[in-house]
Amino acid sequence: METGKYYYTNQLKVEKLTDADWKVAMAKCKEHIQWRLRQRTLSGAHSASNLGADPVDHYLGIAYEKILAGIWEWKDDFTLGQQMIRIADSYISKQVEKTTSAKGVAFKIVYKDVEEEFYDLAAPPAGEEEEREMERRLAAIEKAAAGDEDLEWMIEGLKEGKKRADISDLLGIGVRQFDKLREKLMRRIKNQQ
Amino acid sequence: MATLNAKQVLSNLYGLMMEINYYRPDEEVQTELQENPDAQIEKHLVKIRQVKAKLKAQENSDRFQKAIDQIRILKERGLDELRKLISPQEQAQLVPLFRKFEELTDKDEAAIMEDQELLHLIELLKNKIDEDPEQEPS
Repeated sequence: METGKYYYTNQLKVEKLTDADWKVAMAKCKEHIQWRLRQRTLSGAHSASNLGADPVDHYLGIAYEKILAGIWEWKDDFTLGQQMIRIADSYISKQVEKTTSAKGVAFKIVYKDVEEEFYDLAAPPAGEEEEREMERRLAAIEKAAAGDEDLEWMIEGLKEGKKRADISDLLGIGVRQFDKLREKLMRRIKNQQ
Repeated sequence: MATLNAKQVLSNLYGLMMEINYYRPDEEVQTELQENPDAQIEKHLVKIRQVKAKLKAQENSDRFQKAIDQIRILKERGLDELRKLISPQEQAQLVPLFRKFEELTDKDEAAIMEDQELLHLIELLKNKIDEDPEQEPS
C-alpha cells in the first residue's frame, strides 16, 4: 500500500484512537455517504454498477484508508468522522465527474469544503416521468410529516430553500434541538413504509 | 422566495440530513451504536486493523531497507574517507562505533535495526556525505 506525505503526522493521531472512536467516525461517514448518494442518484449520476462494489463499502473504505496511509491530511480542525466525511464526499464527487465527463477518467483531486455543499441543488427534472416520480417521493415524505407542526414547517422551509440554521430560527428553537427532528422524521418515514 | 420543484426539495432534504449528521455529537452516535450494533461497521473495523498491521510491517521494512542502503553507500565510500568527514572530537566519541561499523558483515545487517547507536552513526555519516562539497553527483 502506498503511503503519502501525511503518514507520520496522521499516525500520531491514529495511534491514540480506540475501536469506539473508529466506530463512531465510520457511522457518521456511512450515514453521510448514504444521504449524498441518494442526493446524487436523483440525477442518475451515480450508480453502484460503476464501482464494482457496494458503494457504502467502497467510499467508507477509501475514507479510512486515505487517513491511515497518510494520503489525506487529518486536519486538527475536524473530528475523525468529519475528516472521513470530507474524504468520502470528495471521492463521490469525483465519481460523478467521472461519470458525467466526456473524457471519462481524466480528473484531479478537488479539495472542496463539504460544509458549503450539503445543499447541492439538483437540476430540474429531466422529463414528465421523472417529475412525477419526484413528486411521488416528496408526497410520501410530506405524508410522514403530516400532523407534526415542527416537521411540517421543516418541509415548508426546505421548499423555500432554507437550511438548518434558517429552519431552526423559523421554528424558534436551537439547532441542537432542531437536529432531534431528524430522528422523528426518519422514524415516521420508516413506519410508513 | 420561489418555491422549488420536488426534485430540488428532496435534494435539500438530503442536504439537511447531511448537515445534521455532520454536527452530531460523537457521544450520541456512540450510544446509538451500543443500542444497535452495525455489522457493516464491525466488518470495516476488522479491515482497519488489517490495514494498520500491513502499513506497520511496510514501515519497518522500509526503515530496514533504508538503513541497509545507507550502509552500502558508506562502505563503498571507505572508512578512511569517512573519518575525514568528521572532526577529531567527534571521531573520539565515535571510535567504538567505527570499530563496529568496520566489522559489520552482511550477516550482521539484520541486527542493525536493534542497534540505535549504530543507526545514529550511519545517519550522521550519511548527512556528512550529503553536505560534502567534494561529493560527486551520482
